[in-house]
Amino acid sequence: MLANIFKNQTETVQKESNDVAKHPTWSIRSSCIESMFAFLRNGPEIEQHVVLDLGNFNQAIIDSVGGSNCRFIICNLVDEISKHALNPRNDVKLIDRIMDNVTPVLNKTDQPVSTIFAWDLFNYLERSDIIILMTFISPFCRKGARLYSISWLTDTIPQLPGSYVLEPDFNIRYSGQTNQHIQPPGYSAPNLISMMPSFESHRLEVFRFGILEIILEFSHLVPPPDPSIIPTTQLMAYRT
Amino acid sequence: MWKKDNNPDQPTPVAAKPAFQGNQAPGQSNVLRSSSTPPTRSAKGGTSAISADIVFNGKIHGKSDIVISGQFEGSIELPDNSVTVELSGKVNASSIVAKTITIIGTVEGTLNGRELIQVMSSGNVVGDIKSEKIVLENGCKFKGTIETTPSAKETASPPKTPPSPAPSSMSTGKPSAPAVKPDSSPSSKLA
Repeated sequence: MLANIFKNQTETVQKESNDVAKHPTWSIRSSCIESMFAFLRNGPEIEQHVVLDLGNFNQAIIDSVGGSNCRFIICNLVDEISKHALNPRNDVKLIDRIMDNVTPVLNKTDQPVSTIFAWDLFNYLERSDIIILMTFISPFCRKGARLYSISWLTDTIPQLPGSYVLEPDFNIRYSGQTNQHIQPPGYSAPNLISMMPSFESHRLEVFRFGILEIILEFSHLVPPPDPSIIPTTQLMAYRT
Repeated sequence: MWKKDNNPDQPTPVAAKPAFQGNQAPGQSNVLRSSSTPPTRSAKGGTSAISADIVFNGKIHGKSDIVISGQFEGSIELPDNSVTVELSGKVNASSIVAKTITIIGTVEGTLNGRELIQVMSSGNVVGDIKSEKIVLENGCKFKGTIETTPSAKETASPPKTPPSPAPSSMSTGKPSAPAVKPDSSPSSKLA
């Protein structure tokens, strides 16, 4: 039934959004971002918020926490995915480049992660990559940690991630900076949740042009959905 | 301005105070000059500089602002002063401690700004930064961790307000019943 709800939503928005390039620039006020910032400011009373930003840094996020005690881990996977897309190498898998970035910073974190910003990265990763990444990240999360993701449900997406710019007052602007587009995997919300079973749905919004915003909440550690995708030895190798 | 071939052991007639105090190897280049574009001066000391054609290894400490336009490897401890890494500057630092740190060039290492760290749009930083206030301009490159520390004034203020009640659109988090908010009025959400 849940799948049907999302399927209907997806079909509705796709009628309006078959070609995102027709809408080169737009901005939306994101209540999900507003909710994430409220979580950072007024969330659980913990010693230190640890924010894992899988994308680029964002000054608006830093400003959102004011002067509170907070640690941001910036992995900048946008750069890695872009480099891989522009100069693919047969001998280096994208997931290895990603884990090379994520592993060292997480392994030296002494506090559990309370917030994750995934931005639009999931649309640029294969299902197995997302499972490996999130299976690795999950043990570092504290109970109740929130994950934010924004993605397209459209026929085409920009060739490279990072098209969204977070502006003041919780506005998300699409820069429309490229004419190069690719076909996305178009992960629906249930699809994403199935790839990271340690997380549960907390909030979801679908906007015009086929933009899906989702906030997931970490519940408890659950084994990856398909253990064959991610052998234990591989995970152990990432952990130091 | 100091010449590149000056004897480093001789005192400078230009710099008000020596910014470098020991730890560089004998004969190592440690040429300093007054910066042509000095940053905002701190209350204490003047401004020293590592010019673009200089490579310096070692430890810097003292009471002077410093502008790095060349290459630097080592550590810097200027807790009451500012450190500026210019566009041509390349720094590999085990630790930089300063009142304010401004990165226009490239830095790898651990940065601790007592008041402010700012990475300008051309800046490229890999490492860990910690400061009361952190400004990262659009366009800069950063990879690592950022830690914001509450200011003394904020630490002394009353505790923050308790969490506000969750909006009605939020679900209880049950996996079988996510908070689905249909796109009933999309145009109202468009700027």
